[in-house]
Amino acid sequence: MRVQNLVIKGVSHLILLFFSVMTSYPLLWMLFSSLKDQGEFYTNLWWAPKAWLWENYAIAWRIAKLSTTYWNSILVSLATIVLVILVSYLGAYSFARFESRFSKILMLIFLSALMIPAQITLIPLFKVELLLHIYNTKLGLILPHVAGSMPFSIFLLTTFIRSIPRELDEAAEIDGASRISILWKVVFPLSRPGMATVVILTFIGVWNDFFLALVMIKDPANYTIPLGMMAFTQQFTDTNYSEVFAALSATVLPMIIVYLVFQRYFISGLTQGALKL
Amino acid sequence: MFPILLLVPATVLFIIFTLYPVITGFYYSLLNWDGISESQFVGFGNYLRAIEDKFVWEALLHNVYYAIFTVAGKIILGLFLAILLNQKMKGITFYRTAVFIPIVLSFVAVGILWSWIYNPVFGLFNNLLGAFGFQTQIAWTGDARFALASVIAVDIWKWFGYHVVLFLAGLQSIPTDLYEAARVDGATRWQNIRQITLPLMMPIIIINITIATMGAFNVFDIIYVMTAGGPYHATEVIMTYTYTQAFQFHSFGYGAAISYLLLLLIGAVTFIQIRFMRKFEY
Repeated sequence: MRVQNLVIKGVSHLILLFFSVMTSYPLLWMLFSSLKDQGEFYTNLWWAPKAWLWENYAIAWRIAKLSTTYWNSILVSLATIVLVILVSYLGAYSFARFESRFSKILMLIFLSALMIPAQITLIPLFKVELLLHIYNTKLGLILPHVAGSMPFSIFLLTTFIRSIPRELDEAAEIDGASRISILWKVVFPLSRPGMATVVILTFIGVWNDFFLALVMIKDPANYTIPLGMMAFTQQFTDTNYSEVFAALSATVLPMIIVYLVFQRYFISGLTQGALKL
Repeated sequence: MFPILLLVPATVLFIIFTLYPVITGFYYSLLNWDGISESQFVGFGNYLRAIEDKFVWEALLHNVYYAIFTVAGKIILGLFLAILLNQKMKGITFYRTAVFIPIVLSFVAVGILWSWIYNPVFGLFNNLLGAFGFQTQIAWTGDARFALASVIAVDIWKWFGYHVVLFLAGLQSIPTDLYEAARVDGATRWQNIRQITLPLMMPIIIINITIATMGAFNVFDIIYVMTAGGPYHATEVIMTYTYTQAFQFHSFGYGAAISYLLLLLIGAVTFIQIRFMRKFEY
């Protein structure tokens, strides 16, 4: 029995290690390739470069216009996150604390929107943006992202706020706190763990979005990272291998680091996103 | 008034950016319209055109293939690895962290990276095959015979770790005394999996299948980045075809009609899966 257990564990480790290498080696290969010169790329395909060419990054950063795309991606993500939190929190507070027939119906309508994939509405959304004069602007990315993330965020936060005892609100009210200050100073700080999930889900969705940006943004000055990387690769892929890998690494690596630092939140956030449905 | 006031921002955004587009989108699908000039009301003409369009059927078939193979790959791999991880052993956190990495990356980054791995001359894939004695210069994403399968493999690569984590969460919620009792009765490992794990995991398996299926029918980014629907429509799916019709050929009405057909299809598939799930709820 003991021997059998040992064998099963050993085999399990081997299989799990194989799949861990499957997911991480391509990324490591990307890093290695980003530091090689063109010649070494052919002769030493699999392993670390002999000469580490850090200047590939400087060149890639410039020709891929990463300053612009990074700035745009950060701005769009930050603005979206702040607005999602604000709008969803206010809505969720109302749903959680003042339940009425009207609010129940509204919640149902919001939730039914989760069944509709965002891609379906891109064509009419394009006309809406033209009408509102936000087509080809960062605001034209931010607002649809906020509207898209909001239903699920409201749902998550509503469940979360419901778990915060109402007695706290009532105690603050007796102490003479206004409705606004109960909202901001009592319940808001206590909802932080719920917010963390909302922030992570929104961040991943917005940071990695390609389709909305592809349809709405024409001006390279407003390109986000995925859009900029796509344009850059199409233009340079046949000539500047190392630079393509350097640009790719420069956009992928920070995301991996953020993930490794906050992985507990990433994993629990993304799984909650699925299992709550 | 206060409760209503709090709901105003959410509701306004919802109406402008979700509700209004859903409704006008359906209206557009009834028009012959290039998005700019005068439109013509054609009733269900666009829908009839879509049903007779052989590229729509071809694209749909690709979505179905995509769904079958990505769902099968992700679910089988996800469940298998989760069962392995659900033992008392070291390194669980490490493995979980590693298989989850691709999930946080964009499909654009993943697509660019894998286009290189599939490169016919100096891609890792052909070099690996060469190391095992299969010398080949196949352009995996440029060859109509292999393009769809190659993209499907990347999709599985990106997402299987997600399903591992979801399944692991489910497995850990199964009470251990069930296994204890089975052990006392002399059950084998395989019997444990067949008689306890799989039945109790059924609702979670179906949630995972639903998530993966939705993804397969909505797939766009990875295909656009790796093959742009080509070569010769070999990887064309509904969303890439819709995009081309609406934003490159300016057939707004037609594009809208195709995407509403897709919505109908996704609705039907999800409905069936949810009905199926109800059966397994205890």
